[in-house]
Amino acid sequence: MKNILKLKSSLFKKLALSVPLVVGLFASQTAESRIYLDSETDPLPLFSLQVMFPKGMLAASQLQAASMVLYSEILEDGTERLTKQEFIDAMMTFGASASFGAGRDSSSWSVSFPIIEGKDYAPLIKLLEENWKLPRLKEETVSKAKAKMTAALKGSLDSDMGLAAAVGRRWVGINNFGLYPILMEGLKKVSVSSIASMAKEALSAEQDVWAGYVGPQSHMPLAEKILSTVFSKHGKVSKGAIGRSMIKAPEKKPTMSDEKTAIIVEKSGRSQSIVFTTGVFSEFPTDTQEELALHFGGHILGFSGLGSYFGDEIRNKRGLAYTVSPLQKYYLGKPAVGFLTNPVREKTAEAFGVIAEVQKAGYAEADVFNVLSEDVWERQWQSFRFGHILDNASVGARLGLRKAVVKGVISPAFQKSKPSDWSISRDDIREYFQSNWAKASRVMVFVGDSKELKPLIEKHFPEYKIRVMELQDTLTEKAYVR
Amino acid sequence: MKKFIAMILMVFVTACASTKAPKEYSGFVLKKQYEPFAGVKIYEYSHAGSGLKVLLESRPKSGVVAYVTAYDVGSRFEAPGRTGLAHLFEHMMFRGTPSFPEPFKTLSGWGDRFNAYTSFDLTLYHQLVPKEVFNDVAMFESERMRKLQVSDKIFKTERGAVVSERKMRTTDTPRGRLYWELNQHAFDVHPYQTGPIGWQEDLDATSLEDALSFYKRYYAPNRATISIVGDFKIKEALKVLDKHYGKFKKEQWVEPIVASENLKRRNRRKVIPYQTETVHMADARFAPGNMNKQNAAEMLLCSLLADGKLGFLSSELVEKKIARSVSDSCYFLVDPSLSTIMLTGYPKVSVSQLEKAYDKALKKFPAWLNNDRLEGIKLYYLEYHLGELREPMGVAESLAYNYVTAKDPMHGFKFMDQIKDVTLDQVKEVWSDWQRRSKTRVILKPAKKSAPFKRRVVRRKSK
Repeated sequence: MKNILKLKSSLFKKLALSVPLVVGLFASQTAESRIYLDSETDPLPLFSLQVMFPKGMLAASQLQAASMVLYSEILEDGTERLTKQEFIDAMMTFGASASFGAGRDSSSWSVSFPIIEGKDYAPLIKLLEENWKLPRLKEETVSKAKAKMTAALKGSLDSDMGLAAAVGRRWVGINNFGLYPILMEGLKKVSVSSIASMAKEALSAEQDVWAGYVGPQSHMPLAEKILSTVFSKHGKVSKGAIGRSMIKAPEKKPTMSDEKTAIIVEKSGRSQSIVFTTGVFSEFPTDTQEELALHFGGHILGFSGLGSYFGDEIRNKRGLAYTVSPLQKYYLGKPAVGFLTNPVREKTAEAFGVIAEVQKAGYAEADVFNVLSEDVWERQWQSFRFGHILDNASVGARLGLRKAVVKGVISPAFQKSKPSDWSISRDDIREYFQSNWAKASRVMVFVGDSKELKPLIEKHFPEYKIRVMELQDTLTEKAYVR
Repeated sequence: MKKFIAMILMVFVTACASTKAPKEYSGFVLKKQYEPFAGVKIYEYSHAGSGLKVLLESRPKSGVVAYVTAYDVGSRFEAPGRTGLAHLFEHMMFRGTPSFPEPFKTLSGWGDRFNAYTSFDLTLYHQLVPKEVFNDVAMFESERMRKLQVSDKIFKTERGAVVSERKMRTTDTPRGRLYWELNQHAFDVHPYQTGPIGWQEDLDATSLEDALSFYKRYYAPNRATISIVGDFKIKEALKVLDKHYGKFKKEQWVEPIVASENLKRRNRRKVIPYQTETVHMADARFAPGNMNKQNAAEMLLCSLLADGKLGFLSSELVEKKIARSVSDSCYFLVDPSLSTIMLTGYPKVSVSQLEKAYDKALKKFPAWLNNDRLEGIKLYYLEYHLGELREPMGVAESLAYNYVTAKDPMHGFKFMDQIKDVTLDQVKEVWSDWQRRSKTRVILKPAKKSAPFKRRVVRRKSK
């Protein structure tokens, strides 16, 4: 440990000198905003702090969204003064990791490290501050980040399941929300100035931010110190759960469409036919009963895993696919439901028939909720409530549930409700899914050979308009224009 | 580093309440008790009649129970022509017992926090449940240990799911195919040659009879370790276990003969055409078995060399647009296995460009290696593994895994201790040794069509 504590003195002298000079990306802003710090204490000597900015790619322009995605690479590249290797070396002395991520509805920054008793963390705070306020935002680093992202996009074409889900998300984002996520055209336009502008606007110091800490109670002051130093422009730190959504709606309202599209991503010679299906509902549930219908209905259909309706029909009864992965995402508070599955190529025809049936029974007609036996209904109800108990036994999950409120994906009233008070009828769930699915914007994505898949899609999903995408085209915006 | 560990000791004192553990309860005899951190009391029992091994840690007021059952069988014990059987059987274990005819539904009803995995060395089942159903979980696990009920129809249906899993994990995924081919080409006779998912034709040829005979032989109580962490008193847990496992008897056990691999042979290099966007490469050296004293140093060496963000190769190859990603895959199995560096090339970087840059970078590693970086990487290792211990399931899995693979439930904790004591000289020594070991390099080269899977001739002995 002595070796660790003997920090590179020259490096930290450099850091110490740098701090009073930190003006950086957010310096010109004055704010009356706040940092809301929520926490969960845990005795293990591990420090985890995350910060959520209430603006993500969906609330940003095309260029802002692309710039936001690249920002993680820029921050990893060090600071104006420290090269990437120097920055890594300095972080290593604390065993610390910091990262930034751009999400659909929000973006986040986090730091974690093991706690060393008696260690002086002031140099780490300065390091994080310098990284956030004075990143290495130069032509060279932006160009490198763009090249890395291009490579990552091309590499993503190798994973059939990931590709199907990504194509589906892009389709929904572009056609319903006017979002152009990170694709080749947007990537080319990113520049030093677009990133600087994004940081000032999307990560604006004039907005409130949420922070969550997990670690020993003794290190809570350190969490506050990091927040008040690194994000000093965001105002004072205020402790406690917020209990309301902080997500900012975009200036332009999303345009929802009830069009149904089936995209075939052309890829021959595969041993599986990947199917991704999703429907985006037009509104967040109007009350807690609708919210319960969404969550409990989703649990019965897919989230109770291999005991779920989809898992049972596709895998347990017929062995058609290994993965039956349910999805419940949110696009600015609009729920998107569906699933991802991977039938083997030889069983594609049978699998598509089953998928069409379960989609109809689960969503379109939603009569599955009425035909469940009393036993199954009770079991699913117990499973749903037990799942809630198990989540609340984990410090990370407990904080995550409260963060979901801040992210706007759980209403404050639902979060405060107790499982013992929950009550809902089968008809309520059926009606919720039936009416929302009828108005939903729907897309199915298939990865495989279009010659084989097209006739099967026409047969089993006749209401969907088929579109074939060449593999490389999936990385371009033009492929998603309706 | 000692201060860091001292901190852990202190916090665990407050985290765990004291508990009483009987020296004997019915057939369960207390063999040992451990205290890896102050206040964390782990009790090891053995059941005299059945040979069942049990590890218990009480965490009052947690409200939950983490229940792990690990069987001392993985693909390491598989016979030629029946590869994939251990994993296929793991799937069968979710297919019915007298009291629980549809386990997926039962487990789902308990909160749906369950899973299982099969590795080269063991098969492990885990559930996290509310404490109210602790007795039911024990009943379920005991029934599927001895009274599993499967029909031929169910066997064939589940085999279908396994075939789909194989295609997803191995056939259509570059990383999966690379691992598969790496083991195929690194080993000649040892069962580690074949990944736990097995050969497609072996899965097709495996019958229900094969599965049942496998069950009888390997799923005996004397081949099992149960590890339970959660909201119960030790005596209460023993009472539950006695009720459900108390009448089990030991089965006769004959250790299968596992062929030994010749670790000193010529280097190997294999290039395989594959439908992929970029070059994928695995460069492996034989690694010692899991009880070797140098393993902590080797683990840190792997991270220093090839950690995806902090490692030397990342700064050398990713930053210079040669590799899109670099990662290390170093873990230690019962028998000597592989320490591997995995690389994914940048788009348009050829096989020869990637290999040349990689070989050149390796030569620069000693100059980059220093004590500050070694001490830093230790902290990342400890952070990661302490994080795993944050939840009851993390502890339960660690205990059972290490009991089966290292015959010592504390092996994981001891390994963390060894990590903190590793010196720079030890890492340098392992680095020198690593370079001298026999090498296997497998490369997936982008092609319009993937090369078909091809069996290498296996000359292994098996019982």
